[in-house]
Order: sequence, then C-alpha cells, then structure tokens
Amino acid sequence: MRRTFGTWMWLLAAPLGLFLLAFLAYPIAYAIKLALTDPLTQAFPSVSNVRLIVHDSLFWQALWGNIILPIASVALELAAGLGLAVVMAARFPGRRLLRLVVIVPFALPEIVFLAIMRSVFAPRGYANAALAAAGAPPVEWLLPGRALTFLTVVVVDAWHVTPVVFLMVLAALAALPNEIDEAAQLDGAGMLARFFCITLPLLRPALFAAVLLRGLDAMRMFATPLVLAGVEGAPVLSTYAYHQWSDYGNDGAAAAAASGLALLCTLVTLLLLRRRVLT
Amino acid sequence: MSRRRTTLVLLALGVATLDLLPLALILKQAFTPERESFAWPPTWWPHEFTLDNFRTLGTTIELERGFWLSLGVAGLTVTSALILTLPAAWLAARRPRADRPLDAAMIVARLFPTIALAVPLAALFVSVGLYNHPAGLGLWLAHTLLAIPVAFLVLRTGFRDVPAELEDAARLDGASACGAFLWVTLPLVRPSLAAAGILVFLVSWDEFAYALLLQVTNRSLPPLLYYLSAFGYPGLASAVAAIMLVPALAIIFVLEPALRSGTLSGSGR
Amino acid sequence: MATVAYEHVSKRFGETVALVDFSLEIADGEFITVLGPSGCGKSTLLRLTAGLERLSAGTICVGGGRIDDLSPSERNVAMVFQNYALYPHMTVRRNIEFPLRMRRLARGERRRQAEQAAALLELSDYLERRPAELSGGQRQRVALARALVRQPALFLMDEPLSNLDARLRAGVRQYIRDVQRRLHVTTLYVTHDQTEAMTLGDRIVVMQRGRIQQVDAPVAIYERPANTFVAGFIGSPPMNLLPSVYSDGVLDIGGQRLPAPPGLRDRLTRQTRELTIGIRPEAFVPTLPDMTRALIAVPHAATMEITGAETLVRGHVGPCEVTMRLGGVRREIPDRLATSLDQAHVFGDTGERLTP
Repeated sequence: MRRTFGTWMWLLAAPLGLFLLAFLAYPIAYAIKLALTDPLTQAFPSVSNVRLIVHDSLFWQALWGNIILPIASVALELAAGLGLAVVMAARFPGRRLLRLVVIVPFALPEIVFLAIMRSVFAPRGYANAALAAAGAPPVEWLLPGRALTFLTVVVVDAWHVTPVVFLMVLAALAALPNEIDEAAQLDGAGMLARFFCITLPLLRPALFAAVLLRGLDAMRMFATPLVLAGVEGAPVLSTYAYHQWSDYGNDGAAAAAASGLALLCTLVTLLLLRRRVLT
Repeated sequence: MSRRRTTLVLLALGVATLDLLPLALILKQAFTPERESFAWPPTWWPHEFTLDNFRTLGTTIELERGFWLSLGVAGLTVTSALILTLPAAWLAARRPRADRPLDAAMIVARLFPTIALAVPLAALFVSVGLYNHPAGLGLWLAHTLLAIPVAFLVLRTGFRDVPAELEDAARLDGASACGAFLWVTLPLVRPSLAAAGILVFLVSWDEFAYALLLQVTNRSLPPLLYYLSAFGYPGLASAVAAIMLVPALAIIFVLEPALRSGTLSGSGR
Repeated sequence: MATVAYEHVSKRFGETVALVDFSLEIADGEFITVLGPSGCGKSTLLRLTAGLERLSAGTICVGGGRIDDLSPSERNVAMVFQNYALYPHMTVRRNIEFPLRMRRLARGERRRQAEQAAALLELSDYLERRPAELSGGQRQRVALARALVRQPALFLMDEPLSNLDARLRAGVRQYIRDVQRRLHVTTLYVTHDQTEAMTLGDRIVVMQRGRIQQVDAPVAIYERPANTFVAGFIGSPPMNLLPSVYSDGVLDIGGQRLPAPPGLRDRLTRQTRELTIGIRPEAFVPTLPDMTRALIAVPHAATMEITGAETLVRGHVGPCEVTMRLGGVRREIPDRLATSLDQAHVFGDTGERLTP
C-alpha cells in the first residue's frame, strides 16, 4: 500500500522535473548554443562570440571585478557578521531589540535598498552632506572606473547582506555547549584566548559554509553594481553580459559572458556539493 | 562590568543607526517633495511634509499597472511553486534515494547565475509570445524557477519534522496511505507551507533581474523603481519603495523567530 | 594551604532563592560531598565557588584569601563538569595541556606535566585521540587529568558519575577517592546519590532548598540525622517516619500506646506534642526480650523481596506503612515483627531531632 502511495507521489513530482527540464536544463543548453553560434553566419560551433568579448577591455575589467568584488564583500560580511554575533552573545539592555534591527537591511527588498543607497552616495547625496557638515570636501563615490567605486559597491553589498552571515553565525554559536566555554574560563583563558582557541575553531564548519554560500551569491551579483554604478562604473560579468544583450543586442556575446560566469559558479557549487554543506 | 556594558550599548546604538538609516531615509524621501529632494545640502527631515509623491503614484498608469503586475505575478508564483514542490519535498524527506538528486538539482537551480538563464529564456519567450507579456506570464514562469529551491528547502524541512511514525500509526489506526498523508501529515506541515508561501511571495515581489530583462514595457515595480531612481525622481522612487516595503517588513517580523532558529538561513538572495 | 571558608553565602536568581546563608569551613585536603535533591542549591554552590555565577551576599575564601571578587580564570580552582566539557577539536594531549598553555608554560615543560597527569590516570595510550573517539569512562579521566594537571588549590566535581554506566560507577568512585587521597587536594563533590556521598566524603553537607540541613561525617549522619529530611534522605530503603502523639510519658504510635524513651520528657516543653518517630528498616526483628514495651508491626508476606543478602518486606503499624529489612534469605516471614523504642529516633513537630 505504501508503495502505491509512493508511486503516486513520484507521479505528482514529475511536473516539477518537467518544469526544471524546460526552464532550467533547456535554457542552459540553449545558452551554450547561443554562445557558440556565430551571430552573422549562424555557423555552429564558432568562437566568434568568445573572440568578441576577449577583445573587449571591458570584459577583462568585468572578469577582474568578478573576482575582487566577491572576495572583498565576503571578507567584510564575515568580519562584520562574526563580530556582531560575538557581541550579541553578551547580555546588555536592548539586546533582543537589536537582534531585530540588525535584520532590517536584509529585510528590505534589494532594489529598494539600492535605490536609497544611490541617494546616499550621489554627488549631492547624504554621505557628502555628512562630510560637508564635518567640514570635509565631497567625495565622488560612484564615478566609473575608480577603485573607490568598487569599494563603495562592496560596502553597500556587505551592508545589505551582513545580517545573513550574522544569523548563520548566531545559530552556530548557540549550538556550542556553554560548558566548554566555562571549562576554558576555569582553565585560565581570558576572553581573547577563549575566542581564538576555542570558539573560532569550533565555528569553522559554519564559517566555511557561510563563506561558500555568500561567495557564490556575491559572484552572481547583478543588481548591486548595475543600480549603483552602471556597467562601466563597477563592471562584473553579469552586468557585462546584460550590457552586451541590452545595449548592443549581441545575444551570442552576452550568452558567452554569462556562460563563463555560470562555469565559474558551477565549479564552486561542485565544491559545495562535495562538502554536503547544504543538506 | 559597567564600562563594558556601556561600550556594548554604544556599539549597539551605532549598529542600530547604521541598520535603520536606509529605512528612515526612504520614508523621509517618500514624504518630501521632489524640489526639496534636489536641494543641497539634502535635508534629514522633510521641511515640507507632503503626500504628493503618493498621489502621483496613484495617477500614473504605468505605476498602477506595475503594482498589479507585481502582485499578480507574486500570487501566481506562490501557487505554482507550492504545487510543484510539495510532492517532491515529501519524497525527499521520506525517501533518501530521491533526496540526493533532488537536492543537487535544487542547489544548481538556486546558485546558477540569473543572467545566464535570463538571456536564453528571453529568446525562448520571444518565440512563444511570452516575452513582455502584459499580464507578466513569462515573468511568472521565471519567478517559479527562482522560487522552487526556496519552497523545496522549507517544505522538505517541514516534512522531515513530521516523524514517519505518525503516518505509520495512522495506517495502523485504519487510514489508507493517502488518507494518512491528507489527514495527519498535511495539517502538521501547515506552518511550513505558510512560511514557504510567504518566502516565495517575497522572492517574486522583490525580484529585479528577470523583471528587467523579460518585461520591457509592462514592467513590475522593481525595474520601475530603478528607472525612477536613475532618472532623478527620488521622491517618487521612494514612494514606490515605501509601497514595496509594506509586505516585506510586515512579513519579516512575523518570520523572525524562524529566521533565528536557522531554518531559513539557507534561503538568502 | 588550601582551606576553604564560606561565610553567609547567598545567591538569588531574580525572585528565586537558590542558596541561603551558607557557611562552612573546609580543611586542607578534605573531601566534602554536597548531597541533596535537585533544586537544593548544590550546583549553585559549585558554580559560585568556580566563579561562573556571582554571589548575592557573603564571601568565599580559599587559603585565607578572598576569591569571590576574582574571575574564574584567576581563581586556581579546577572543575570536572557533569558532561566533562572536553574541547572536541583538540586531542587528549592538547586538552590536558590547555590550562598549562594558558599559564604560558614552555612547551617542553607543558608536555612533561601533561604526560605525567595522563600517566596518573592511565591515559598514556590515548594521548593522540580526540574526545569523540573515547568511551565515557575515558573521557571522564581526561576531564580529571585536565583539572589536576595544574595542581589547583580546590577541586570541584559536578555529579561526575551520573553519565556513566551503573557497572562502571563503583569502580570509578574508588578511583576518584584514590586519586584525591594521593594528591591531597581539597575537593568539593556534588551529587544526588547518597551511596556516593556515604562512601566518598570525609564529611557530607546535606542540603535542601538552598539551606544546609546537616554537616557531619557519613556515619554520624546515618546514625544521628539532624531532622526528618536528612533521616528520610539517607539510607536505602529510607527510614520509616511514623507520626505519633506524646502525652504524659506515653507515646501513641499508630494506635499503640507505649512508655516514652527515658529522657524524652525532659526535652519536651509542653504536655502534649506531635512528634515523628523514625525507625530504620533493619531495626525490626522477629522477637524482643521485653515484648510488652515493643512496637509491633504486621508484615504483608506478599510484598516480600529477596535480594540475597537480605529480605525486604512491607507492612503496617496501625494505619502507617513501614518497610522492614531482615538479614539473609527468609522463606517465610513471621506474622509479627517488633522494634524497641530505645533505638528509635524522635523528631519534634518542626522536624528537628530530639533524642541525643
């Protein structure tokens, strides 16, 4: 009897499989085909799209950006999330309220957060107003092609996403038995010693999971650089692909760039699967 | 101990300001007339409190259509995502054989870059007439794709939390396998269904990339917000942002305990 | 000198009072067991001594110096936790070396001392293993080694045997006692198991609801419990506590009127008192020389339990249920058992002991 019900469930689950086939597997295959089809002669396979993007300096900037941005952003999120979680472990008035407040940046829809950040970092925006009030000259936060622009994008991204890392670390910290920290206290370890010798090593699996997850999400970053600085301001592979598709109508080139990004992400995902982190 | 406490409280206040600032500024700008928003230096509190931005929202056809499009697509996505994912989630929870491939498929779906799928999807939709659909049907399908991994994770956890022994006990009590599922398991999974529904709604409601690429004139709210902001309508943009916030914030505070327990920490961006 | 002195120590958690006016002096090298039911405050006492909780009132001194204003890492107190609290990511060796590392000992010296402690506890073969690879008994020895390696002034143990198999407990009990004697470390040992308390401690501190009920050597506590709580807590099966009424030299116990033990009259200040008479199960015998002055109990043969070394049987004295113990294997029980009031414990209406 159970077997029949199980079979029913398999049947009911089939539409999901079909859906994924149609809207996940097929587009992936189609993207690869697009990338390898010459747009003018429709010849397949052809490397003309690849050649096009490889000769575009913006592509190389985008590739570089796609490596720098995730690393910087994840490092910042990790430090901030870890710091917050450790601080939140202590008891102080308003702690529960703060825990709710910390989640707010993440609760805001991404586009809403980015829109207001544009206003904050605009030439006549709030950041420069604060600087002016302090007597300092205004800063061009989001000018194209400057290192500062990258930094601003990194900071905004970290600002938005730190709550997620914070929550992950908090959950992991809560799972650590209290007694181990107490034993370390009795063994003569001060706060710093306890953090580095006991807490941090025990948090390693959770931190690794966080880094991998956040790193992947950061590599796929699209709206943040686009909305804040535009394609030329802070190029990454996703915005570069969009740029090819939307501004030049080069489907093939866009698909090529996007597929490159997908390949990068797949490699990291395989690493994740190997570690069975998500299950 | 007291000095340590004071530093903690100060730190807490600093973090709180940093976290609440974006929200505060949005609300401030929504109620500030556009003129004032262009002034230099920008005001931190509206000198002239106004509802004009919201009024303009109500009278601009594109924005009104955008609101209904966003809402409609989100509602459709919740329905399709839950229906498609429910059987698979049960299978993954009860049959280890099914779990591995499903899990892997979900991971791929969730972590695959949107742009890599959006370009071919756009081409695909053009050929079947779903591109830039007035009711957003093409967008609905794309959002369902995004929503499936999220719904799967939450529902699978929900099913895992219902011990299989309960179904067995129901069978011994005389229920059929199907009956046991309907009358015992399903009611117990209701909270997970609700949580999944809420998350999926938010995923669709907030979604930007697919909306930007797949809908060119019949836009949903996120791309509209982008253009308003990029073309220099901060007040109007903030009003749209404020509208977008309503479901998001209300729901997050309902979900906070679940977020804290870590069940949802894997379903970020 | 690792003497310990508690003076009027109290601990309050919000509205709940965990420990009230606790005062005690412990001599150097003494093994003190703290015994009581859950909620009696014994774990709180341990945590206050370790510095994991702060006092609400009173002082704690070790070796003559106050420690209650020091942080746990400064107190030179070692503790073995109920769940051992071993560092899961470190090998046994590194676990034991950790306190020495915190003291900034040189690596060579650290190794030497750790290996010495490990040898003392027969852990030399396990030094490179992780806690997850050890049995419960082995983990406990690692916890002991880690606690002892730095030669603390005071040694705290929080129900260390409760997580062990029943079979192992007796052996490990002896082991702990041996180690403590050899090292002459002042030890505070918390438990709810009275067998452990009776066999391990130089003195037992019996506690209930945050207050000390009695502090004495084990035998003294057994033979002269200070109140009905201690009387009922120590001894297995527990002492029988029978309500009775005293009036004019006569005790009425469950309907039987018997002359009161000599000297009792002098200790009572009123004519009639409600008293509790305590009789140990082993005090019941088949017959006494003077049966006219004996308290009679009627056993129920059906409740007989033969454990081999003894036979237990339940019965009644008037309306009160009693448990009785007879030596050896008895195939049949006499229809009457008797006990003399001369050996009985008498407690007043507030529960405090009246007989000398």
